[in-house]
Amino acid sequence: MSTLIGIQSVLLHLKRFSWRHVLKAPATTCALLAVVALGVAVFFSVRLSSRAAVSGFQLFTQSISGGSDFVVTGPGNAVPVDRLPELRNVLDPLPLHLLPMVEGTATLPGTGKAADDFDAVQVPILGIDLLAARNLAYARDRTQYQTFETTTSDQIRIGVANEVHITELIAKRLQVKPGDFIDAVLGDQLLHLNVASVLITDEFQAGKNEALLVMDLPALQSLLGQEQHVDRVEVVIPEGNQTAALRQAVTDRLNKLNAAQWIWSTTESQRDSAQTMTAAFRLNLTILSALSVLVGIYLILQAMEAAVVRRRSEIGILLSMGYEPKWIRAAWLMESLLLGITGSALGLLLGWALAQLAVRGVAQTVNALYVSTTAEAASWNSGEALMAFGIGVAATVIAGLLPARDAASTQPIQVIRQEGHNGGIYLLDAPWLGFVLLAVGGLFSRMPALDLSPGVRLPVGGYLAALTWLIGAAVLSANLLRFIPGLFKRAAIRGAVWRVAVSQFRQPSGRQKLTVAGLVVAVGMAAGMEILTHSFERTVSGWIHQSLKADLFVAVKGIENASNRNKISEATWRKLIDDPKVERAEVGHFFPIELRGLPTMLMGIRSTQPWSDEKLIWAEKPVKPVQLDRPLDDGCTPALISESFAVRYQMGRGDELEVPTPAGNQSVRVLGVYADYGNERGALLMDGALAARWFNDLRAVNLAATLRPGADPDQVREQWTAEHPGLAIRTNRALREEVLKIFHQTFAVTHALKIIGIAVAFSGLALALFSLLMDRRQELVTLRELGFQRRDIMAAVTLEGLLLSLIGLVAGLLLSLALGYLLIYVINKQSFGWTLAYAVPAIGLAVLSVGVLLAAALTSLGIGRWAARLKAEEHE
Amino acid sequence: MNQRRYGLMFLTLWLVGAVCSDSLPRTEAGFRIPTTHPEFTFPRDHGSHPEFLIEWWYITGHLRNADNQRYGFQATFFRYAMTPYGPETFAPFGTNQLFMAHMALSDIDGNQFYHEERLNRDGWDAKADTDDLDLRNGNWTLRRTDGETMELRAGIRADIEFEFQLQPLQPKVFFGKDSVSRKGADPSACSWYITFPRLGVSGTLRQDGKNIPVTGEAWMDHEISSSQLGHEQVGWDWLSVRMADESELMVYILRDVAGNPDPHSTLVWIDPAGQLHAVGSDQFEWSESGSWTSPDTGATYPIDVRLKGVRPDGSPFDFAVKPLMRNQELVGELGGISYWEGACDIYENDQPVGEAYMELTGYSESLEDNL
Repeated sequence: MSTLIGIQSVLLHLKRFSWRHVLKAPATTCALLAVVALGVAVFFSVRLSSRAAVSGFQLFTQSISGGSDFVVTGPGNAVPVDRLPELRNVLDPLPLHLLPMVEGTATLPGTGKAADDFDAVQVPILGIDLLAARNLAYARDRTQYQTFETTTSDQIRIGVANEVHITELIAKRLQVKPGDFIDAVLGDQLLHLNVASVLITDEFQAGKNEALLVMDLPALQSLLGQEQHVDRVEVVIPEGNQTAALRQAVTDRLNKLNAAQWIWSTTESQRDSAQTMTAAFRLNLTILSALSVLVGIYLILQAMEAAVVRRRSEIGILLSMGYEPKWIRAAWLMESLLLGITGSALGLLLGWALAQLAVRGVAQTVNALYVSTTAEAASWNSGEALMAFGIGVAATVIAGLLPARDAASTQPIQVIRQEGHNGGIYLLDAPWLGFVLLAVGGLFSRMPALDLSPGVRLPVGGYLAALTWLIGAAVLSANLLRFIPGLFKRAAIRGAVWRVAVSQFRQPSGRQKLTVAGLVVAVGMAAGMEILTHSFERTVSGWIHQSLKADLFVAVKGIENASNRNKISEATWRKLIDDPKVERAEVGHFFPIELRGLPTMLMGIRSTQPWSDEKLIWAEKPVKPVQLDRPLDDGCTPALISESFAVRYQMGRGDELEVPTPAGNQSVRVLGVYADYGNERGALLMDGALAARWFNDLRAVNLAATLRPGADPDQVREQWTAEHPGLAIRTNRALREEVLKIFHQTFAVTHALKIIGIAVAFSGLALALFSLLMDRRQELVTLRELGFQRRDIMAAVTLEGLLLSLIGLVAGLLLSLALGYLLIYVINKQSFGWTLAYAVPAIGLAVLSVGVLLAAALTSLGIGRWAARLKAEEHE
Repeated sequence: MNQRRYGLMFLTLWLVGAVCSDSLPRTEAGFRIPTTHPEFTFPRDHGSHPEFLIEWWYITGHLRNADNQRYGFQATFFRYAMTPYGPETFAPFGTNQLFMAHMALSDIDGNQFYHEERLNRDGWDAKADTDDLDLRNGNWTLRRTDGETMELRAGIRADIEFEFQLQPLQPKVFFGKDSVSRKGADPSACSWYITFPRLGVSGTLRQDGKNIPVTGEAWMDHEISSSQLGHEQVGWDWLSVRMADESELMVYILRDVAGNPDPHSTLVWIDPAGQLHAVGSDQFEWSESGSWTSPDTGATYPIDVRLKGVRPDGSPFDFAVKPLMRNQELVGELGGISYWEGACDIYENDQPVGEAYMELTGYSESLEDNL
């Protein structure tokens, strides 16, 4: 019975009390909903977009007919075509479809700012035997018979050199239809391709949201200059009652293949590997996005507290009428719950929309660092939605706990006497806790990275240290407030305004402490990220200065994509290095290899003059000058490894390793470790001519040319570009600018989060000041009666806000120095293996400080103006 | 839907070549036309003849397991030339030949019909050797192993696998006057038609994960041509019978648009010694006694047939051709040609007198443009 009465009371409270305030102050309610929605939206969108970016990585057959079962390739991700029958013979007579594949990257000029710009759209182009792909119709369920279906019939032809099939997304983006022509850069050629068909999305599932070009396999092989090999063979087991037995039989047969010449894996493990490879990256994104939920909690807490303050008199009346405190608490929690549900639901919609915008950015990073992804749109995912919704609702309810407790503990007499209420978190009153947290954080920072799987490390200790230091700094800075009156003693003598402002900190309220804690966290994180990006930029600039010394840099378009396999033909690079204007040139042959089950890169450097290691920055310097083109005394091939490689494989100077190549396993000795910020998979650097022989591939990936004195790089660039429109040729200056531009793009999301964090902190400041002044409105009236002008009140409130912000700023800056250390020496080093030089961005931090103080001044001024007009009985 | 696509595709890809300088008769596109009195050399002529447009190796047979349960099977390897002039070097992904193949199994007692089609270009995964019988289409292979013994290895999706040894029980025969089998008035509508009318089959059928030893008899055609149908012809009805008395019978009716038999339709008796006795369409009667409509293609096939005529010894015959299953239709998903090809028994006076395979084409659409 009493439960029933309780429920009725809570509902009545909601109707008469909460709903009335919703109607009375719709702007505040909307703002609160917006806070919840924004937090959930950021979290949801980051999760969705990173999921899409990773799921965009998939094998072709997954797109057309439900997926292959095994993927077979060879050293250097290449299977010589003359070895294909060997694979069939090993698997005979099992009823398998073997689909050789070639994969390239097509740059679509005209879709970016310029054809050779990094912004030009790049899409995967897949070469598949268009006839053999049709056979998959019988490999899958009869209801899915139709595969590789196109919009109009009679368009799939074989043996045609320049025909391409496109997905609907490409058709839409380029505004083309079958029969039209599109320009695409492939390898080092600019091609004019005939659109043969648009692949039907119902059949070609991936095409719905993905940009793909498909060509007949030999045609693409020819265009890429790799007639002698395919990239992989996908093995499809037909459906039927013996599928499971066949899977086992295939595994047994593949195990019989020569492991030095064949590399195979199941499609699931390929997908898992793409998932694992990007796990750390996605977790980093998730952690960053979770911050938005955290600041959301902080804001909601502030806003709910403000609401409690506003409605305290009503609460007092209800209590005096016999309402039980637990009903009041329940009603407030219910209000938080409703707020959480509504806000989170809105957040899901907003998040889904944001994800569509974010996915291409995230996909770009995944493309650049990890694997090729074709994601262009994020699909709705109910699991992620449920998680974001749950987190949003839980966060709102948690944020409402404290104000609910305050509301329930409000004494009627306190309200009637218009007494202030010291809200806040009691933990902030314990400075010892702050010191303990800082010490614990120090211990966390010493923790080694957690090995999620071979080659994937997660700096758990670094994240825990950052969290404990953030909370510790927040606790300590909250306790700094009490020193304000002492610090500003002299200033306070100058006038009543100063005295009034400073006096507010004699016994700092919980709300003031919470506000400063929020500011410390926001400033600390923003400045910490500033330190990281600045250190990164300084290091990369130094690296560029040291390593990019040639006049012209030549690469195929789209080379920044980690999965790009386009190369410069031998004829082209030989022509370029034989140009009489070229004094010396270095040609790079890159081959993806797999070592200990992890993908990495073998880089062969071919130099027209004796190669020198002077351009490298050493992490572990070789004992004597390196001569890559001469075998060592013991017959080993000399090589250098990048820092990421060293961290990934736990190797260093003097170590020996076996490199799998189509020419068999090769013994290589590491002579030194050099710094490289190009990729996190690491690289093994060796003589280019030898590498090209090992992999039977003389095509190059890039070329750096130093011109003879007197030759004009711009002129040569123009001449080469005219002769080779498929090549991206950059002058030294342009390349440096490009590298830095990419670098800044990479950190764009960091800047955005920084700004969101600061904005949220100031919303918190405004709400806190508002609550404080609501609490003190009687005091403000008294001040007015004592002769305080409105402008004096405004000045006192502004000053109070500024002092709060100043403490937050100073403590935040100190915190940022420690966070910068963590980000550079622990989190980044453990995640990517890159050594960065710690550099404090004086200008950046000064701008941030001025910005923070300006924002504080404006926020406080606004609240001050409102306070100056506040009457004793006014509620909002 | 796409039924016609690949048929049309083949046509668009048949590149028109210049007329060869040799004196052999050729089609306008440059493909050879079968000539009379061919001087076959075996085993070479069991292999491929890429200078002809179309070629197929066609095996149909009846099997029984140890429990006397019955199966019918069909294994067909087709070759289509896209140019009469092959490349000088091997291309792993060639464009000179297309290879299509059909496998089917009729599980009579289980009332299940399994079938699958394949379409591949010449190259690393599909080929037809020109020196001997050595055919591959994916994991399906047909090879001569020893003498004229052949080995067939194939399967249907992940459901069925089979590995059969095929041993001639009768010598091979060559149909047609002067070894050229005429298909129509057009002189180019003809073929070299080499047949093993009775092959002993033994091997293993793998179904539901169980290896089932089977034995039986089969018929094998190897037909080489550059045009299989004359103008106005839309399809054919074909029947091969292995009679219980060790003789065989082969009959085909070439139908025109109105359903009338072409005068070049033929019935041939093969006696146990391999002697042929052929008669024209005016000396036998093929009539429908029942039909079946495909739920997949909507085509109605006259699968119950009466065949009447006179034996070489002058005695009349009146056969009832009874399919062992109604649904033995191969839906042409890839090749664009749907047809009915099924195991049948032959009855005379309500007594079984032979095992047969019957093929009914051109009932879902005309084959005129495709072959």
